[in-house]
Amino acid sequence: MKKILVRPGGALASRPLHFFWIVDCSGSMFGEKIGAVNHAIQSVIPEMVSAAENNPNAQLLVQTLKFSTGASWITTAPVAVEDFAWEDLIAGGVTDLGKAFELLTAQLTIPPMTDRALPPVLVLLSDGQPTDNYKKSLDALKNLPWGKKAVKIAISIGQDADDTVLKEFTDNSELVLQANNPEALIRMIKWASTAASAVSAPASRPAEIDAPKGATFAPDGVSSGGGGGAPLVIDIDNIPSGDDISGGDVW
Amino acid sequence: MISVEAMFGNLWGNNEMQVHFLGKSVTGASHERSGTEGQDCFKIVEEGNVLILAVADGHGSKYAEFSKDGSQIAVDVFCRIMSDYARKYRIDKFSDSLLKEKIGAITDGVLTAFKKDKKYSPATDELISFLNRDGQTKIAQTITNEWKEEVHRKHKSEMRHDCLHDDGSIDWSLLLKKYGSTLLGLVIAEDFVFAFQLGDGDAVRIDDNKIESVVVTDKILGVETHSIGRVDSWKNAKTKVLRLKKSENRPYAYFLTTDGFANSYPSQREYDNAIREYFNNIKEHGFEAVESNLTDWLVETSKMGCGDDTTMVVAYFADEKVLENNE
Repeated sequence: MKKILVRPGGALASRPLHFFWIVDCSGSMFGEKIGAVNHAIQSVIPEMVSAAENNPNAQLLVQTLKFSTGASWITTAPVAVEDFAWEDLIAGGVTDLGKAFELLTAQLTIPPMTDRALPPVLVLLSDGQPTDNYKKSLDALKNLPWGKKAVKIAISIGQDADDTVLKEFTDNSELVLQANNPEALIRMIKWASTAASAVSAPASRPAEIDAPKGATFAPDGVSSGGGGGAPLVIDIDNIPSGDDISGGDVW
Repeated sequence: MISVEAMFGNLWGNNEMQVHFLGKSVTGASHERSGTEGQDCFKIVEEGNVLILAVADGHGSKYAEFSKDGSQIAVDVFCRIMSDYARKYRIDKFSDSLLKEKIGAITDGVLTAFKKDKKYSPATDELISFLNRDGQTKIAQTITNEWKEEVHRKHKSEMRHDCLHDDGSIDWSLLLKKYGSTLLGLVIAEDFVFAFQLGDGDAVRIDDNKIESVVVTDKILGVETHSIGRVDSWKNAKTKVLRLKKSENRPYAYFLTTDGFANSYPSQREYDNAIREYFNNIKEHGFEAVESNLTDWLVETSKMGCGDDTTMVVAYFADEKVLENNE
């Protein structure tokens, strides 16, 4: 007869998936823009919670980083998405994006990050035009092991946004999503939040592969030896086109 | 006549040592939820006094739709090739000239010494030299090339007629990707262990005093791994040969696990602790008790852990008396 034994090995853990909202709160975002950002992110949280419930083998952790004159974490530690509550942000000041990249770099270093995590998802919402020297800190971010592997998405807010730095951040112009009105912003933020469920799929992927037809890769920044810097597949076929979305005032 | 045992070394017979081995694989909880098949495979082969273990983890993404076949072929090919090597270097009846032909580098002096002392195993030494010298080149190329040929045969036999260029020639890059898999294997003999790794997974050796990785590969963060499903995949293979001492502490064991097991623990330390507890369970409850529970444990591991397919292969070496007492 089978002798039933308790499983050895101690506590098990799902893989953490860190999702970062990085929000431009500079003066140029004042008014309707920051209000729309607050509303849009708040509205997608339930969908993120629902997606997380459908995948109990990944632990979706959310953090918010704001930058204007300086940068700071709204949530100092990662928060499980089911416990995450959006705190309305207020705009004002200059655009110290480099400071935000510095804080992000510290957070993506191992430790505090674990090497068993799923690739983090970084969503930058901004109208561009940083006022500090961001290049050095962006390079540092993208040279981190997790910085290379992170899924980096930018949402460009407003018709007059300067996408230069956003393209530098994502390394892929297709992952700079255009949001020229509140409706478009919601759609883009929804799409970006689905990136979390894409990276939490259990399939492994061969490193350093060529792009399969019909798919696009998230950028990986600087390539390194031993398979480092390999891209992560993201299906961007369903990115909503900003031009097709009407509703509300055009920024 | 010189016996097989003298040529290759007596693995477990003379020393009242027994080896027990097992392998279990479960479909990941995530696959169960989505109704997709698991892609892990394993294989265990005894070739004379050599034990050959292999695990493989098919990639399972939509771009690797036949990766279950790819991982099965990977373990089959590894075990077949390593069995061939084991047979090639084990000669039980031969003339001096045949011996010299089979073991080219042997000198007259070594031959004389060998014939005087049947416990001396020049074939093993020669095999070790070969594995050390050519593991990451010729052997890796042989394994990956045979895998590709097998994959191509499988693709044709299953009437899968895609993966062609416009001119009708095979798009090898695309075809191999569809069967992409990792491969991790061990060849365990009395006085050496050969490890081969292409992609992720863990191979560790454990005894009462320590636990250590048998082969250390480049760690790729996230969900990516090196793959056998590349045209030049042999370049990413890592191999290692470990010499073993006759006085190795017993009991000891080798564990091979696919990444679904390690990724279900928060860190390497917890993984090591888990392997330690599995090892202690074998010592405490016996091998058969662990074997009969292992599938349930792996299902729980995947469900409560990362959700991926999870495979474990164990080879456990102990004095016969100890096993008898426990079982």
